[in-house]
Amino acid sequence: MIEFFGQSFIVYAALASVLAGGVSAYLGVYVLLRRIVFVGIALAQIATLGVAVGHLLGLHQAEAAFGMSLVGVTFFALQRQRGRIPRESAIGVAYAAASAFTIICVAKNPLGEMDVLSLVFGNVLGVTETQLYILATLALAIALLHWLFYKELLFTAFDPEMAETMGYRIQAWEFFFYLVLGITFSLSVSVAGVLVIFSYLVIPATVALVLDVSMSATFAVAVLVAVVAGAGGVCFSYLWDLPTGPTIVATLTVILALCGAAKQLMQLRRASHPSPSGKR
Amino acid sequence: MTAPVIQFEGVALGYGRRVVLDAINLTVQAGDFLGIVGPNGAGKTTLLKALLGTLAPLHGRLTHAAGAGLFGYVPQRELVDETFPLTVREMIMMGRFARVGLLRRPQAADEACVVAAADHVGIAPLLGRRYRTLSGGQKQRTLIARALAAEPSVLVLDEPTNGMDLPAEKAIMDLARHLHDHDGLTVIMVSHLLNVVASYVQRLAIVGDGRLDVGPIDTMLTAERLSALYSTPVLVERVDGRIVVLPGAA
Repeated sequence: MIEFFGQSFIVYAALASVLAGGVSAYLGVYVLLRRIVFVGIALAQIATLGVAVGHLLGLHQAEAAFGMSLVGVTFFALQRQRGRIPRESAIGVAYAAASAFTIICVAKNPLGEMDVLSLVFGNVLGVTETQLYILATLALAIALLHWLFYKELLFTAFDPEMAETMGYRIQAWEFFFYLVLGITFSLSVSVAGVLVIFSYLVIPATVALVLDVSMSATFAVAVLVAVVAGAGGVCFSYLWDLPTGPTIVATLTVILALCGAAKQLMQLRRASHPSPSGKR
Repeated sequence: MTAPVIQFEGVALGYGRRVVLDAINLTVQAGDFLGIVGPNGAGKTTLLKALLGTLAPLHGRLTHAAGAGLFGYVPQRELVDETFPLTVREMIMMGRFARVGLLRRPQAADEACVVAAADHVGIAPLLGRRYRTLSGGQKQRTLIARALAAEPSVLVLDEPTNGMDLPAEKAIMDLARHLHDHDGLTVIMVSHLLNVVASYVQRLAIVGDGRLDVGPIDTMLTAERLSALYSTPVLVERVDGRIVVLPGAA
């Protein structure tokens, strides 16, 4: 274990994983509650396409990913506003097209198909100090966002109809949320990969909802789960020589399974030993 | 004559090029208790959106009285997402958000307003409970308290008694009447339950066949009008001074 902390690239990988995971998990709570999980994966895939295009054309990858994410965010915002086709179809088209063009870009890349794996699973072990600073800045910005706009983000996600009657611009808030999601993906996908980021988006928030904690604790639990799985996944992958991205996803899944089982057990115990007052 | 809070003058409502309701003339006065009824798909929701200011008219003139927090909107209970692990207190606090303002946090006065709204509708002991663990009637009261926390001048209820048993239905309708009679709120209620609405409101707006007719209960609820509107024989009787609408023999 001491050897683990002595390797700077592993410490960097663990920190990057924790930062990208924490941010994604926080946003994931809103993604789950807004029921836009598949918008999430489509946007993540669009950001990946940006990385692939940037790689192919020799552009800055994060900038290319951000540009592509902006296109995706605008597409989904306009589609909701004016679209005649069902949203599920638009998401499916966006995801399929982004995946296909990503593969085409990678296939045409002189560096070859080895990059496919690093694009899909990311290359968290190769994270640079600069990327780490960028992720830390992103995490701080998201924390500030939570501090400033928690009530607006919650209200417009929970009851957009009532929020609109009270003067909130629902489409503007939705676009703002998608934009934050797009920026997060464009900065984190090239570090951790689309599968890991999508897992961070969905699994920690699911753990929090399974545990049925309060609204504010839901965000805290989701971030905590991502931090534990991020650091743990990197640690396990180092100790047992496993691929890092899939190990992080596997760790998240194990945490979800354990929490789900614990919750079931608690409910069973409560059912077999009801409180005398009968109160919840 | 009190000031109109909402006025429709020759308004057409719809989506894109499709007109759902045309030539609407409706004035809601301060202190009104207005019921909006009509068959499914007739345009009640479209009218509601226009009333709330979230749907612009295709043409005509629609005027809302100036003033923030004009509406306290109570949506259909079934449409409230119960995935969110919100407490009754957190739910009601949402009604304060517009008054709290951007970049600001609720203060002690907002908290006091939440407690007062909960107390007013009889759910103060439930403030710490999760919304999704409540009964249908308690959920409806929570939604009404959330609307009241906004300190509105108009309370708009969308199908407030859907899926309720008789005692719960009566309790919610009595609460709506109390808010109108004692608190001086203008109340607009959308419902497909003719008998429930007819027993409480002062005026009735009937949506059907692409138009809106408004008037006192007695003149609006006639067997001829309702039979034509619902395309089925309808009987209108008086029982203990109250109007009762019954499906008639074909």
